[in-house]
Amino acid sequence: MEKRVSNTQFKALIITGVVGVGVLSLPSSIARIANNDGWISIVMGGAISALLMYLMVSLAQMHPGKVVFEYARELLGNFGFYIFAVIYIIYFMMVLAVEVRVFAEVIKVFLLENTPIEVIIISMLVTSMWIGRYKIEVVARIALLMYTVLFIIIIFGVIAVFPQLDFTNIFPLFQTNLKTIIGGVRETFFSYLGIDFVLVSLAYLEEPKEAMHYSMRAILSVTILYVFAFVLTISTFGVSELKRQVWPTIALVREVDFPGFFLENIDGIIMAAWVLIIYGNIGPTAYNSTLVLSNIFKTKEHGLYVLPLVPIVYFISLFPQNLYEVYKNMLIPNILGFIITIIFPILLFILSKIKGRRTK
Amino acid sequence: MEYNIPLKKTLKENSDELKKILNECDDIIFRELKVGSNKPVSMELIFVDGMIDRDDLSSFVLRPLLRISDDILSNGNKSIDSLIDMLSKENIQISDMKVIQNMEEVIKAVLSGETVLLIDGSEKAIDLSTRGWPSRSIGEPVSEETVRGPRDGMTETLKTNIALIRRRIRDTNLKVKMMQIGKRSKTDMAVMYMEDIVEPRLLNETYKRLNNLKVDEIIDSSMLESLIEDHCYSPFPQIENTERPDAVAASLYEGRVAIIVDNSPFALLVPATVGTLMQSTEDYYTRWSVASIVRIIRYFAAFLAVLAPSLYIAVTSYHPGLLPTRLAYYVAASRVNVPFPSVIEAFLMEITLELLREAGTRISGPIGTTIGIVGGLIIGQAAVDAGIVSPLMIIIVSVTTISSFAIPSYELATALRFFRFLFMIYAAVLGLYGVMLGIIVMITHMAKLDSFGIPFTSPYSGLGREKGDLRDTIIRVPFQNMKKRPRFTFPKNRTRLK
Repeated sequence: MEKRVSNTQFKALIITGVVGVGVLSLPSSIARIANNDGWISIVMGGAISALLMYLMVSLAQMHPGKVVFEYARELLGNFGFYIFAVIYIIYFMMVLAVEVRVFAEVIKVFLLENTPIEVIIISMLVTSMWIGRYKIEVVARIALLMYTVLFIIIIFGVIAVFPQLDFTNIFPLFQTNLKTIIGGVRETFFSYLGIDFVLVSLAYLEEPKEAMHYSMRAILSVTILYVFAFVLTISTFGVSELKRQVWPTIALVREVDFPGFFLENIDGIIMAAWVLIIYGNIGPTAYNSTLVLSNIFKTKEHGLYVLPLVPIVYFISLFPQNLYEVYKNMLIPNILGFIITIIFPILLFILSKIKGRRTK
Repeated sequence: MEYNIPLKKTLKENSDELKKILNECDDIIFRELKVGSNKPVSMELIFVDGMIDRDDLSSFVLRPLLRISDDILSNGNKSIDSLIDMLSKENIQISDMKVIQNMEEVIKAVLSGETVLLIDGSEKAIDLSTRGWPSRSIGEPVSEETVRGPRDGMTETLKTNIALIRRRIRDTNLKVKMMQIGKRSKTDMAVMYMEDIVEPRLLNETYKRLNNLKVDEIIDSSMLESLIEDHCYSPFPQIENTERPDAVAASLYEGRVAIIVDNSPFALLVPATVGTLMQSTEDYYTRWSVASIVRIIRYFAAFLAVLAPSLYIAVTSYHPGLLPTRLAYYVAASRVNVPFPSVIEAFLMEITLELLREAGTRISGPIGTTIGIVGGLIIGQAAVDAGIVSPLMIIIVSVTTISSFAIPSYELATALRFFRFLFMIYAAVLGLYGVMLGIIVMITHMAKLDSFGIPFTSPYSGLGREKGDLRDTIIRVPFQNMKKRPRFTFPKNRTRLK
């Protein structure tokens, strides 16, 4: 297999694959549980993801040049593989649906008040899932570009919100007990979903030996970004106001205004750039889901599965009546995500260890 | 039409065959001559009138031939082969010649402007390189003028162009591979590369595409460009062209491949990426700080050329709240008299400007200037007075057009122009969100493109974006700091400065 993804692209793939709509609501949902100590939960969540990442990278390095769906079939047998693949595809569709639904709600609130949400969802799905037709190189290139956009937004955003920060709001620290903090870790779980893409992308990596280094750096960047988001929002709003926010990260940007500047409100610009970040997030997932389907049906081409996926995801995303229900129903993708990112890698890891020993 | 037959023994047979093939080609001249008076040998010179240098032919071929005396000719009953040998070694004073034995070679040589000497009794002919046709002298590269830097531009003659490039690279590693493309046109072309720098896969890919080409004619390098590029339906150019020999030389040093086509002053450079298309030759001839600022301005211009009208449409019709209050009032006030929605307004002005641009290119010179004044000033002013467009729109459209001319590659600018109209429609339907969707479409399309196996979006997103590879992109650092060649072409030898 040709090595087609560079290590920098690999890092970008992980970061853009993980950072999605989660970061919009993460600070407030975590503050509701762990109060001022939410950042500890975020760091712990990051540490757990790093562990999982370690496991996944080692698993992928045991099967060089092979995508997870290929060696899963060998390890689990045909029947096991189908169960695995079906869970995978349902999970991907759920994640895509949640992603695009939350995204559309945000766009509807901040950019297009009068546009029906269906239009926003379907336009976004058609535009961004299109990438599922292309090869992994294209996904990787997009990821690197979107990573750059994300980087610029963060720098620009931090500079813009800096004058309004009141760091005393961070305190008091260490008031919550460990159990609550661990409860907060569960809340961060959705925001760290998406690391499973390494099981696919690592197969195409230029220098797979250095993958561990790059993936750890990616997880570190994501954790720092989330801690930043938490610290910035909590120091702007204070704990009690933060708890009441739905999307504190956007509210943070909305607070900013530049009197006498060419643009008075930068939230529109940030929101617009945010569309690109979501695209960077949907891209790998869309690619992944077409890949699963092509592995289920054993076809060489994976591009044609975009077409049936778009309407299915569209209907799933319209299933919850309102935003409250979206967040309430988060449990299903979370459970599936738990299976995909924790149980399956561990299972596959053990199986390939056993098999490796047997062949020795 | 295949004439792959060996030459016959007698001159008459050969001559008749040739005359049959070149029937009714009155520009081809058959000049018969007899050498020696005692036992004369008949010969025939065949050439195309106008494509050869007549002075050369008469003073260095005809005169020496006719002066050969009998005793030399009959000295020791020379065989006809040794006669050919003698002729080419002692008598004919042309620097480049070769012996050919095939009818096809004869025809090819004659049609490319060489002179063929047929000799009675021999199955061989002598091909004399006497090419010389009226050609343009080396002038300034009109489309890529610079304030500082060399002022020679390429011409329509292949040999001249190769010489211009060779003059800048006195290295044995510079390889020039000549080939002919076009079943009928038999256009000469040269593939140039630095053997120890270029990536073999890139070179093989270039050869593969050129050799697989089955086409009747190549009129200009732009035709070849569209025939060998990766995605011919894309609006983006995947092959760069330049008429500056110094730019070609610089690209060769970076490990790229140049294809030079006869009859075209534009050399093709592969691969082309966003990074290279946004570079201008002058960046390397001015100080690095100025060059860097100019680069940044150029990228900003590209941004404006694509987005300015659509952002205007999106902001005025969907998100006036983004603007500061006073500016929003001003924009609203300036649009009070305009009866159209901003998208119609924008399309009206953009189309008018495209018309002006097209008319200006067709009619150049003094009338072109008149069109510019009439179109730009009078129509612009009148449109505002009549209340068809708002003054702000005029500013937006002019800035857009000026920006699109600030992009060094004309092809890239036209591609962005295409997307500008797409974005305007998106903006009219979905506002700022629509513009972003448009950007997604454009970026995905660009990321999909390959140029000879190298990602079009290099070095920003390709495999080459590693440490130090962004030194010659949005900014240009001093040459002291560019010790390595850019990695996106995967050069074999990366060090260029120690």
